[in-house]
Amino acid sequence: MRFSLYRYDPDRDTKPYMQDFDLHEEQLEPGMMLLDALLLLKAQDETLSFRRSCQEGVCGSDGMNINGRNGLACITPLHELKQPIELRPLPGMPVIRDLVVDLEPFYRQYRAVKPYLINEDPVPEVERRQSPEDRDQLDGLYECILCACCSTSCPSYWWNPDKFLGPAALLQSWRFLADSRDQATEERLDSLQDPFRLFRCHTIMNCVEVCPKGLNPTKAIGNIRQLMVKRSL
Amino acid sequence: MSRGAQGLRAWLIQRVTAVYLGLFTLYLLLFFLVSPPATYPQWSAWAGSPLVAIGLALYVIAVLLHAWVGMRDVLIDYVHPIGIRLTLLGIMAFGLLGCGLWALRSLLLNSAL
Repeated sequence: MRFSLYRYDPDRDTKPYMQDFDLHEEQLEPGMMLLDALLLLKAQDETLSFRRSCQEGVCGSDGMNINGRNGLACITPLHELKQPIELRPLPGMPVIRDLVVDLEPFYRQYRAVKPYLINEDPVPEVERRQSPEDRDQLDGLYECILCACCSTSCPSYWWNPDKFLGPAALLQSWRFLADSRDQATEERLDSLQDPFRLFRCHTIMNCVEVCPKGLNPTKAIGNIRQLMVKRSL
Repeated sequence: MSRGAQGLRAWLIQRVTAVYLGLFTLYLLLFFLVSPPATYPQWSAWAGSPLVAIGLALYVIAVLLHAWVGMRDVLIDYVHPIGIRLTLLGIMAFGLLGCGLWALRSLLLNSAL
């Protein structure tokens, strides 16, 4: 099985290059995921760098560009991929080394939407209650694992990574706007009305296409817009 | 609408004008398919009737606003040096305004005749 991997070590290389790797058929087992193959390749060449942790699509560490499409290596079946399997770091992000990118800009955008409950009422003795219907509003939002597959596949994010918040952060913004217990709706909406933070989204929907958890950031962004319009009328 | 809502305002303008443009274009298509004016006086009379004249004037304004928002989006996305972006926006505003004034002048002259 043939692989073509993006390699870059800023300490040694002047510029990135693609390196070919091979795995023998006897090393492969049925049901193998791409991450398993990467671990075998790392045994061949221990300088190969990539992130991984839980290995079952929960932690979101191993987001990468697989044959041109962002995804998690640990839940991508190996046999479904066309050879040579081309692996690159998440597009548009600063590369630290090989497939490892600097996600600090992504996390900064996440923090910018205040991804936590804002409620000025005194803390109750029990939990803050919510009806089952209100709780249902959060389905499809809270599941995000912040793997950055969506934001780094978004052309609007590529062109304005410093000003547009990107689909992942905006999905989280809607997650708290939609929460019946949150009281900061006005501030949250105010902070998104400028031409950049939310309105660089042109409904391209690459984010929906690649999300490994099957979430829909485009719909969340549409909901934010709808709420803004309702408020301003 | 509060200050600092340029993003929302531009987006709303784009959506609202799109609806008007869609409906009026449909009307224009049907009109020219069903009973196209054969002569200049017929043309002039059609464009000069108050309802059509107002509709056309709104159409012109909607086209210009829609084009402004769309082109502004393209420039914000792709042209990052602020000087070049502002220059291009200025040229575009000038061109669109020129087109608009010329079109409205034609409509007004026609209605006055």
